[in-house]
Amino acid sequence: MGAGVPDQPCEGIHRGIPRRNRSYSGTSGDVSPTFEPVTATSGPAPRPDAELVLAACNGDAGAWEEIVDRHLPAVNRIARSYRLPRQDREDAVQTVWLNLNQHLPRLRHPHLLRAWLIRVTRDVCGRQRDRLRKLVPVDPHRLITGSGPAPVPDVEDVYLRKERHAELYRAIDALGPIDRRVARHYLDDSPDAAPLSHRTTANERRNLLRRLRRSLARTEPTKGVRDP
Amino acid sequence: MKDTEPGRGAALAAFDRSLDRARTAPTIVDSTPSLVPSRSEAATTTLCFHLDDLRVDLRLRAHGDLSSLFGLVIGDFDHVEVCLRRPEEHLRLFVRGDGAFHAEGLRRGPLALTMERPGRLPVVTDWFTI
Repeated sequence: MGAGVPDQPCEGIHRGIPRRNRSYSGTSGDVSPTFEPVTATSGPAPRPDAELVLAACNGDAGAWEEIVDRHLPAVNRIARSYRLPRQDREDAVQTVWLNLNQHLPRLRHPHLLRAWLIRVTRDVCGRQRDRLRKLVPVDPHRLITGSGPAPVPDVEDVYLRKERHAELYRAIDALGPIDRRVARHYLDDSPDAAPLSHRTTANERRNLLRRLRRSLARTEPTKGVRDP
Repeated sequence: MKDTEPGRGAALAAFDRSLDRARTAPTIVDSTPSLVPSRSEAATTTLCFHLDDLRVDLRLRAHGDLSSLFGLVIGDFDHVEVCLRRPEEHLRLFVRGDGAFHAEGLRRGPLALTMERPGRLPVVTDWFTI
């Protein structure tokens, strides 16, 4: 999953962190008997992440809400950067928060909560994106819902798929050596392949896809049927 | 402003301290589906978790918008209870004598498992999406 951090209770980490006085005078420890003008910058200082984590571990739903409000925008920004369909993005973000709730008592460095959330969000979104990339759209009318025999593959579909694969690999063969290497890594879906982000960089993938699209868009004069 | 941040409601609803005593089952295999070779095959995800001296293998198969889950508890055990957790519900699954369990008609979204054995603390898997 990528969230794995060893068990270490919050209490052992946070011994000695003073509880912040919740006065609203703007100065810690003072309770003003009269109204003071309230400016945009006055008010209690935000509690640090480590303190919020400890409070949430102790059942403080308000502390959890503060954590969410503080970090959800960043989580959403990262999720949007993966260009997932809306529902997949929402599922991924929800999974991140469910995992945080589960790992909350075991966070080894609660003061680094933001980094933890960023890493887990990338893991979850990357997994979601990899899963979507490897799925082939299926005609819902041909899905098997029962336990009947598998339908015989349509001959034309098989032929067209083979043609597309052959065309893709012809286009890859026409690329330079660097792009060919990136393409090999990109198309490697073997079970023991390293994550895509470890095999190729985002720039390499962008350049590869741009060149491939150009190559595939060039129509050969022998292809297609001439209009009469 | 805060209320308009997408996913805020789901994030707030995730707060739950009821399983703080549970241990986390390490995920030892998590394979996203390989390229589906034909339309007749459903995409399959394989997960594998360690549960003390046991191993739990999971296979998730997507059929359009729904998924089915097939699991197998491997090792020597007398009794183990497997509970399927979704954000809105918990579903106790029947584990056969050979350790097999399954669930069908699962909607997309986050999912996790809780496993309990007599005399031991419950164990939870990480949340993952189907």
